[in-house]
Amino acid sequence: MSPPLKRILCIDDERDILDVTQMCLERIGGYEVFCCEGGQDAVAQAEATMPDLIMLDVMMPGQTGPDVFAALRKVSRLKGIPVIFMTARVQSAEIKTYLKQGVTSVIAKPFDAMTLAADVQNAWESFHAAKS
Amino acid sequence: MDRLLHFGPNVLRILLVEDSRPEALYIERTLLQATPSAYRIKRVADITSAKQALETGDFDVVLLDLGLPDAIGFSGLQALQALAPKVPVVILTGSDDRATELSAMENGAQDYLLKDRASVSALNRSMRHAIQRKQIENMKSEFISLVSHELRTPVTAIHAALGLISGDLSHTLPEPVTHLVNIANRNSERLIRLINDILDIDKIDSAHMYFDIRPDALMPIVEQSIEANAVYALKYGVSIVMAPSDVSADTFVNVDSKRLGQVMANLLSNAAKFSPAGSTVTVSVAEMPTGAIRISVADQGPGIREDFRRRIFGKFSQADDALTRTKQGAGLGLYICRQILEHMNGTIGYDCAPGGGTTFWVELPVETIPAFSEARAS
Repeated sequence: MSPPLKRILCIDDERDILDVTQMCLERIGGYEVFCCEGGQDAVAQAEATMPDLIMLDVMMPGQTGPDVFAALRKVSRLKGIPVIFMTARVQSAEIKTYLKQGVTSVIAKPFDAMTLAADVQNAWESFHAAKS
Repeated sequence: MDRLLHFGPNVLRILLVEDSRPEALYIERTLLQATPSAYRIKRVADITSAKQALETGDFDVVLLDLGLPDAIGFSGLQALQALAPKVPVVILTGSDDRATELSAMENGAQDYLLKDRASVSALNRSMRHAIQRKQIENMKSEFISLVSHELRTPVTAIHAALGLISGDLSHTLPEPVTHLVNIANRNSERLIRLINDILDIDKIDSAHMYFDIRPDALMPIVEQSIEANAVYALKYGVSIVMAPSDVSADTFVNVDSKRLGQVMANLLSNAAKFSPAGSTVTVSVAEMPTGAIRISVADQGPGIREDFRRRIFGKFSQADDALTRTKQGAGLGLYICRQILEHMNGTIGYDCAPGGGTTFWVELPVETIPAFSEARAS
């Protein structure tokens, strides 16, 4: 049994995407969602909110998703938090590369509003199943 | 535009892949005798060494002989392109044959040169041409990839917002608004499919479509694809059913399961689109006498017009032209399906029943996994 998933931090450079993602996860999944616009403040926001799970956009100007992911992994109290990449580039080879880097799961953009919360929940459960 | 006019560094770095020593020396001598300082040529005799050379060094162009000991047909060309997608390739061949020339280009070569016409000017012309052509191809791919990504971001926001309204908030809306939201939602889905298809076409054309091929259980892929496309089919009043099958539940095929799912989605949505409302699309899985596994998608539609059959798997193929078209779509789906299946050693085809109704089928070789069956048996 995995612990309950409650708090999610979403990191994306597009405000509109953050808003709809937040609404999907809050309304359909019932999670508490925090938003961070862009990669710059991502680590600080993660430390401030201490989420159970992080959703991270891959293609962001300046600090990209993989950059942010690497930075999160360097902070000891953050490095155990599962991270889901959100990306419009979803060739199998790219997904493989991301998973090899230690990312928990990859969700394709555009995503389905009604199943996003379930996809996130599944990723959360398989993360804990793999841990135990 | 600067990149187009600029043909690369002053010294042209050439990787010459030729197993015949006299022919290789002839080409080297032809080039070096004219202007020794203009070229740096590395010669290798097979694809394995060519791959090593491309991994460790920078080259402006590859001159590739077609008859190498460790490559059949265009497999050498494909291997080099997968490794160094940005390096142009000129095919060298002994035979003056239009069909080989065409398929060399179709397989991603940038130019083609007959060995006995390989004068210094012909070689130079061909290499320059290949480099320029490759630059344009790369720019086109980058442009398509950039535009598609830029399109996806707003579409993601629109699609998610509409999905949330029609899925979670529709009870709060008056009936005409729900109807309009559904129209917008449906069309955002159509736009996403179109963007995906255009990206796929570009990946196929530039030999950049990557596959993650591994043994996978067939039945779950088929069942999931039916489940995933049932809602779409229902919009046309069509239901998808699975016929009973004798094929064992642990039949494995060697595929990229996402790509096979994409093929199934294409066949199922086509079948639904061309079926009369109230009819049924039947999916069946059977083992062929050849040992291959065949997945069939049978519809009760009007069939395929005789004059369309020849080009049905071609690019931008629609039965009707753009002005008289009654069905949506860019006509890219079946072209993409065929390319995907070729990568997975499969085939695609169709049969038309005399009274109407079409069955599209996909055949894949069965994968035997000794370890797996032994584990099951013990």
